[in-house]
Amino acid sequence: MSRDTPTMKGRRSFLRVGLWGSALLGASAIVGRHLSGYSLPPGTASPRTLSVKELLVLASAIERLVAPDGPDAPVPSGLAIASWLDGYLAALDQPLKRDLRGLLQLLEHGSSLFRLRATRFSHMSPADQDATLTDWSTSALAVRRQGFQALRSLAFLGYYRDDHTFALLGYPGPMVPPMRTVPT
Amino acid sequence: MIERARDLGATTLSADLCVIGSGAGGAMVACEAARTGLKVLVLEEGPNIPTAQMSQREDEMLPRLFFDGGGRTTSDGAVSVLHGRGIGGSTIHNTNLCKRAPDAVLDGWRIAGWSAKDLVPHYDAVEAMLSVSVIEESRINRNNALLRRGCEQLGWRGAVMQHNRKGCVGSGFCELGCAFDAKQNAAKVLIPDAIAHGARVISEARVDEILVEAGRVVGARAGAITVRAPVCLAGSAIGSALLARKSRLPDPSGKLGRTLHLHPGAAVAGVFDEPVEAWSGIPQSYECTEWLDPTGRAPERRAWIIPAFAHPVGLAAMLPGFGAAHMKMMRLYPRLAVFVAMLHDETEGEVSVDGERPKIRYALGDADARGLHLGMRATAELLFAAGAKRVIVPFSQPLELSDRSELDRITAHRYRPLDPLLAAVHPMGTLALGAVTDETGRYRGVDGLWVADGSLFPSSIGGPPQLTIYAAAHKVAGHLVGALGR
Repeated sequence: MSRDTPTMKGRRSFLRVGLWGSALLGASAIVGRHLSGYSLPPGTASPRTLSVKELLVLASAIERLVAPDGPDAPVPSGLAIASWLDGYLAALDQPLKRDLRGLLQLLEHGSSLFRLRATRFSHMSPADQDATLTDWSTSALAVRRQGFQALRSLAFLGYYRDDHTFALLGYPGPMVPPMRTVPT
Repeated sequence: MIERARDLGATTLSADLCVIGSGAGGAMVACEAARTGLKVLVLEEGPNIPTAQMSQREDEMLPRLFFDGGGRTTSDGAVSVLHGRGIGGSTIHNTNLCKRAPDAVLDGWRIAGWSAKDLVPHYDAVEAMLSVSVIEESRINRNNALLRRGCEQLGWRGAVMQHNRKGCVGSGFCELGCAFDAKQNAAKVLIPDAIAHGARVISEARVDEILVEAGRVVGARAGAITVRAPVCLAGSAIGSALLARKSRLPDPSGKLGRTLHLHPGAAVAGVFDEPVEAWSGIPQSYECTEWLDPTGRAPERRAWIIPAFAHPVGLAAMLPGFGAAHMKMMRLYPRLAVFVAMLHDETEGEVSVDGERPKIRYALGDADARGLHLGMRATAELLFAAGAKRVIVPFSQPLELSDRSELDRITAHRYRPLDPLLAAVHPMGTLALGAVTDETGRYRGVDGLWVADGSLFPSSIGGPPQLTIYAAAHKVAGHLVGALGR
């Protein structure tokens, strides 16, 4: 180990870090258990990896993380991206899925603890959601910066994978046709 | 023919040598050992992906080519660690750069038989096997040409690089696997050669345990498959360390898994008036080594600067921020040049076991953080020298520079994990020569086990590692074959 290495606490994941993360997660879980109001639009398929609540929180975050900058940009319609990601995540290891589910709970309920408001993330105004995400991205707590990066990466994957965004970017896209199904 | 573990069912197989991993190291050992007549069996955790399945789509290829769908990170999330799985390992998705490790690095290891001079015949052999050549001038795309222009304007050291491609059509999708079969890599050259010499290769076979009896490695278990044979471990600096630790192998040096280097890098983007369209053509063909001193005499000069372009999902991750402001930057895609300052790191991380998964601890040291910022500053200076109108620096509070007078704002930044976000594609050094392994690549503390991948490196090498991994495995293969009586 280099001698000038800063702290190397046993951070197993962004949710298993230190007292702050544990306390926030615990508090958010307790609060969240008693809250309802999460339902999918009729006809929407049930998620495979996330709960309905987690899917809707993810969709709310996606709406802001890839918010269009102009009328020509494809609208994220976060739920569709979130549903696609829900399927994508199904193939990942259980610990990763568990961490993501915890992150979404923390975003939904823990954010209000930091901003001293009693509003769930998914029920905030877009401006407040943006402010919350900015808080996470620059937080003094590495656990929140890590959570922000995880959400950002998922949103970007779900949005910029889509051929409909390529024109926005001036990007010609792949030279070969897409696979009909990805082999398992 | 490459078999799948799931098609074999529960079985016990015997061989003269079991190779774990089929990347640059494993494929080389398998090929060399099979050529001598040894009965070789290769176990690869990932799938076999034929060329026809290389779809050039990030959402389809990332989960197939990389662990955790490309989302693997250090335990604090500060460094995204991209390492490959599948027949051919990381040689499937890498950008085919073939550069020998600097003499100063190899000689600095002070390991008998591993000096720069000692490795020459191995490099020579590998370069011949993989058809290594200098990238033709006509193949240098605009992103790389801008790096060269920056070097020339500043009078900085730079060079056109070597690669192992034949028949390249310049599609620019190298990091998602070549759909045109132009990569002369482990999967195309070495694995077929090994099979032609009798090797058996099994994909989707994740090894759970190295089997040890009475102080001797007697095989490996991968799910329902048990192999009885001496073992060569070549599962990358992450995978090999994970497996060694999961298997509770003896660790007389106390260094097992503990000397991880990553070459972490941070990307810096320049906005140009002219079209760059960096997605087109060979992604990396030119390097700047002005800020890289492999001797260690100038410790602040530890950045290897190269182009770091990506397709949309990858680019989005490189650029800072989110929402509409981020999308505005994404619209600049055709006019963006992106270079990365990759650290020749002295920080030592650790790979340990977290259930079935690796736990990768890596906390960038102060000297490396300083080197990172100086490297990012140099990268921004190169972009301005090449004609960039603006430079975007991916700090958590996005920084945009409009001219060179603002470059010190980069070095004024204080590093903290995830600010900036770092990416690493070169894990090295967790079963290092002279510590965990001896100078022949033999694992210390147990018989019948060799190591032949980037985990052998006692230090960071400050450049693309694949050629040195191939060469190291070529060398270890010679020792191993001798020890096994051929």
